[in-house]
Amino acid sequence: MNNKEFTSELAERLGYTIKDTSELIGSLLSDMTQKLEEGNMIVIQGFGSFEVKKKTERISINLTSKQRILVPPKLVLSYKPSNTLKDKFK
Amino acid sequence: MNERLTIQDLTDLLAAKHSMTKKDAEAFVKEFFLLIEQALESEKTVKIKGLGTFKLIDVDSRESVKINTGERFQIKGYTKVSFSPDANLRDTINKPFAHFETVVLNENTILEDTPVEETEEEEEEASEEILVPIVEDNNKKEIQENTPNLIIEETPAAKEEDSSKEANIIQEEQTAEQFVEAEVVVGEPIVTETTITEETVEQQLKVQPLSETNKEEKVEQKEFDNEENPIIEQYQQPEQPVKEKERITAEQITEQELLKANLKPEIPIVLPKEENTIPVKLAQAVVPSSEKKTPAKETKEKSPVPYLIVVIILVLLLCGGVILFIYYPDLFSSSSDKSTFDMPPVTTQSVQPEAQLSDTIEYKDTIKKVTPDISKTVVTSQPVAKKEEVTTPAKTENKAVQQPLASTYSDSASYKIIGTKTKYTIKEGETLTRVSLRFYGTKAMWPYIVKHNPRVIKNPNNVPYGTTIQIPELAKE
Repeated sequence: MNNKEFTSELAERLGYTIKDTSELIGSLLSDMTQKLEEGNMIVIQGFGSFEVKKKTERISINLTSKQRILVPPKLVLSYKPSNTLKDKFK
Repeated sequence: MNERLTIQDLTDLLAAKHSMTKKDAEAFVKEFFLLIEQALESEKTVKIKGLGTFKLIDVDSRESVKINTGERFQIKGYTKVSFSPDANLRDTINKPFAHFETVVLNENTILEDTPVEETEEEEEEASEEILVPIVEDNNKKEIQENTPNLIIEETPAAKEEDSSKEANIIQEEQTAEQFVEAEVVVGEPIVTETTITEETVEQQLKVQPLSETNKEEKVEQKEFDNEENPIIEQYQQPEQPVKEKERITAEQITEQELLKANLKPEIPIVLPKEENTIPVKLAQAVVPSSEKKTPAKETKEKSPVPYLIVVIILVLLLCGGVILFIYYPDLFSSSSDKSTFDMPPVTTQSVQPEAQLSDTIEYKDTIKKVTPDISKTVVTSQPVAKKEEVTTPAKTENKAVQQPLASTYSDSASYKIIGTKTKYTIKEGETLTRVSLRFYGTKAMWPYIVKHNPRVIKNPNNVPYGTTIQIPELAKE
């Protein structure tokens, strides 16, 4: 399901217009992004949790060229599905 | 920071932004995530702009081993939910670390920083410590003997630098010494005759006339020295008498010193020995240099060519010295202080004959001490460039250094022995001057030790280790 389908489906369910829905989705996601940037963790009951994790620097080796590459540290958004969701798909 | 936000917080934010009831907002948020879940169930992938892609991934069943029992068992295949954030979201999240870039490492890249700065600091400290004794004593030999002591106090890292410094000093000394040698070589044929006259003169103890006659010659010689470009033939002739006079004066000084310091009957016994030994050595090679050097000298004797080379080298040295002085003023000041000690005998006496008589003995001493060190430590082959740098500054600064020298060493004759301080057994490699330095803080006091141990010390230039000597207590007259 792509973004367009998702938005229309959501609008249909809630009785909003597609425009309003996409607006709401946009503001919801920007709020979430802002909170995540600040280092917060977002936990949605029954769905899972979003968290920003720090990956430390590491040296990776290119197996074909044998080059050693220093990969810098980075912040990554990780999603961990909740147990109920996991069980549902098992 | 680091709070756990729930749907409640999100709905509050959303409601505030869009002026909608909290109830509606909550319904929206819940529906949003529920739809994702349902869409995943039905279509396996959900792509949301601004968030990312949720996917259901099938994991194949696989075999594994139970850790406790070692029993093989099958892990059933299952599906898991994966989430990969949108490119925009990923970049915004990683903004704090965005400036980092991946680097391709070279094979020899060292990941831990080596402490380069520390060693440099230590080197500076070491050089400073070496400089201090120079200023205090104005004595080259003391510097050499002080440096080992300093090393003990310093860290092992500093040691290395010290030793390298020492090596430099030794090189400098050697070059200076070679210079002296070269001069001596020229005049050598005459030496045998002159030494005889020396001895006779000394026996008569006519100090004054002799120094006067030699003075004139020295004045000439000094002029040549200052010009730096002496004509060879002229240079040779005045050179020789000067050397002789140094010897003579040195011996006279020992006599005077001893006479002043003590009137004991042993003195005469010691003195004649010194007189005999010194002239002999002088005739052989002014400086009792190592075995390697004497043969070299003989070869030089035969042809004037080496002397020409020496003169040319001197000119080069001057240039090198000037350059060195411009770029390394610190190094220059320390090295020149040290090397001056070899040079002064040529010029000093003519300037201040009486006052500096006591100096000459010190100079000789330094020269003697230095040569054995060279044979031990310095490898025979030495870069010419280093020598050049060192010897030239020595000449130019000669005069400036003379004054302080005279003042410090004239004191050494004004002590008298008032008793025995302690006993001391000479260790391997130690000399009387070193013992003097150990007990009196200056190497200049060794004649008193000789005087105080007439029976034990047969030859002050060669005291076998293991010899137990008595260290005299000295008081100023």
